[in-house]
Amino acid sequence: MRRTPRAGLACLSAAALLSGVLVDVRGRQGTPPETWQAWRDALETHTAGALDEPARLVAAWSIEALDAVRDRVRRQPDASRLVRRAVVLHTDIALLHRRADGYDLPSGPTTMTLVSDGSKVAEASGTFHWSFLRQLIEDLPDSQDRETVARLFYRATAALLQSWNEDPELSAHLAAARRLLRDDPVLLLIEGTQQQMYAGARAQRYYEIRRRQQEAWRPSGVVSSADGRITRGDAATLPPAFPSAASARSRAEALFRQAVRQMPSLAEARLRLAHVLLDRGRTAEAAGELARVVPGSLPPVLGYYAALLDGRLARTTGDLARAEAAFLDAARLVPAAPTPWLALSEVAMAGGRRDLAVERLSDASRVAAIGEPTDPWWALERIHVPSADTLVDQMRHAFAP
Amino acid sequence: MPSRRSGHARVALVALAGVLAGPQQPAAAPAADGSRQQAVFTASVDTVRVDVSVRQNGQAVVGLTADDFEVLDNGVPQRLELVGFEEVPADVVIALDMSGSVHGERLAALRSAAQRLLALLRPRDRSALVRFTERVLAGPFTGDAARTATDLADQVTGRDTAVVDAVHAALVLSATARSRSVVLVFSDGADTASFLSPDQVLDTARRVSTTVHVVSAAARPTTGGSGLHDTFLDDLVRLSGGRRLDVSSPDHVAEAFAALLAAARERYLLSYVPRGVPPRGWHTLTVRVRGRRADVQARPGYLAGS
Repeated sequence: MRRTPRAGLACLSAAALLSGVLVDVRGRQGTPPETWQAWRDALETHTAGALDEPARLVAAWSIEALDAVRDRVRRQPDASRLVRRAVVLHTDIALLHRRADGYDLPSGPTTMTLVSDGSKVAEASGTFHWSFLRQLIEDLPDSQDRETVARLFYRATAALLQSWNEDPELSAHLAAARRLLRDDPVLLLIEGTQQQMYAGARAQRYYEIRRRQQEAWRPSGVVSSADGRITRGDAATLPPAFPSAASARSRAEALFRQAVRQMPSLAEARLRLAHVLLDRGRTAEAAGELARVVPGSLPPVLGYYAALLDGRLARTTGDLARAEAAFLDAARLVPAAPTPWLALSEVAMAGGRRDLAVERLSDASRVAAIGEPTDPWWALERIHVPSADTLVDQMRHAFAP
Repeated sequence: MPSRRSGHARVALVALAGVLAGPQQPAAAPAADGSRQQAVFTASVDTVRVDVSVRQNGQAVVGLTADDFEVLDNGVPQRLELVGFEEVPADVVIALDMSGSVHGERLAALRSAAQRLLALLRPRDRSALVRFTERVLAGPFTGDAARTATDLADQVTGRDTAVVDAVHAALVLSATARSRSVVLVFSDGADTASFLSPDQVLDTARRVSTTVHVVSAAARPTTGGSGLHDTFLDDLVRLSGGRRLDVSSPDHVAEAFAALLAAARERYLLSYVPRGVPPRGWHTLTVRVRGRRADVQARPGYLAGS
């Protein structure tokens, strides 16, 4: 949308006046009145969670159209109400147009690298609806109201982006949230989980391949940076392009510790902290954190996670009986998960009980063959309790007219 | 063409040691002239099997008897009770990576390679299949190779690679083997999904009487790599007395599998009941052939007890 030059106002006559009125109505970025009204109408008529006509209409708009809308919103007396409705509409637009390989929407500014089994398989563009919402919220006056809107929005949509493994957008989301909310424990949990993902085998495998590619394509005197630009310089002075597992775990630990400081009852953060400590070989500290979580008070998925960690911990200390009990507990909590049975097979083997090891392996294979639902252990980098879907529904409900 | 990994002998023979659980089939007397002998088992729960490669000038040495071998268990000479050679039936576990990177033509080539391997099995051989992504599906041993081939065609849900978990499954299956036990693993990538640790599964490998061979289409880790179980497959092969072949693509897996299976048959299968050594813990094995300068390879030892 092109700006209407202010110089046009210098023209005399009704035409000039009209031009001035048009500049005023369009705003500095020239929102056509029909766009602004259409957007307001969409906010009011959209049904939360539905890919209805208002959502389809706005979904097709360009980034320039939304930029112009944003400019008008901030000058409205009911900006807070508009932003709440906009959060619902544009989150639904993004969510309902999300596909496995990106968005079925006009391309956004972010690019996602799709990684499968540690290798890049494709690239896809993100959507500008997320940045639009971040900007709308940031434009609100600094107040309790903005904090309320921001907290509901970021908790729900950061969890959503994490469930999709949409890392670039998630990073932008978390950075913006940090500016407004600082030490929100749920967002600290999500950011810590992001670091857990960076430390994981899948991401590290991808980073290793990228490092090799960078090293291979580096004739003398020319070095490549992480974003693909070529610079000249001493390779030794380049910052690390990708986080090492050790640095990511260190960062994850710090974030989870901060989360439980802010909210000691946030069991999931404590479990993840125990997990990271176990991965870092700090068994006693991991046991201490795990002991502070009351298993019976946890929802099934978190109870499952706790049981697997307990089993791993026991296995590390050589307590086979306790490991077996913990893995049996995990199997009871999530009967469709193969991981506990595989772990039980290993425990049996370590105890010299071969027949039992074979039997447990058979159980693991039987469960693995079922296919769905997936084992929560495999989705640990993406799931939280409550789930992203639950948080989005809560947000929709909170912002309902 | 598969490339031979440096550091291993040219001969793809493996040594095998472990503790059998459960009763064995009754023995048949060895032939007096040292010619090919029927496999002999004793009814014992503590029998140790040792799979030995004996080669001279690049060729397998045939016609050896129990008296030609000397086996030291933790330095203590043992009385050998079984000698078998090529005629010993094989229980073969095939572990195949079916993760996201193996799809389309690559998957078809892998399935074809496994089917060709199954076609090489003899009537008394048995096969079992382990297919893995982040899921591990392990089937039981069967003497019906066609049935195993049918299972090959089934899809496995998932995209990640749990090779450490899959090797555990293959080793556990192989613990039910009757005599000569071989695991053949194919993977084209690093582990991205296993729950079990490499150390746990290497411990399992120390306990079972199985030789593990690896066919890998993965890039070798650079020095100072990501630590993603980089050395697991190499450690596994070394501990079990197996061999690793690196191939450039699944198109060469069939040839690699066939070579490994053929070499696996050119081994002597020794058996003894340990005497004069503690029943638990790590046992170092030394295997020699008397009066002959030959290249003898056997696994370095075994782990007994819990």
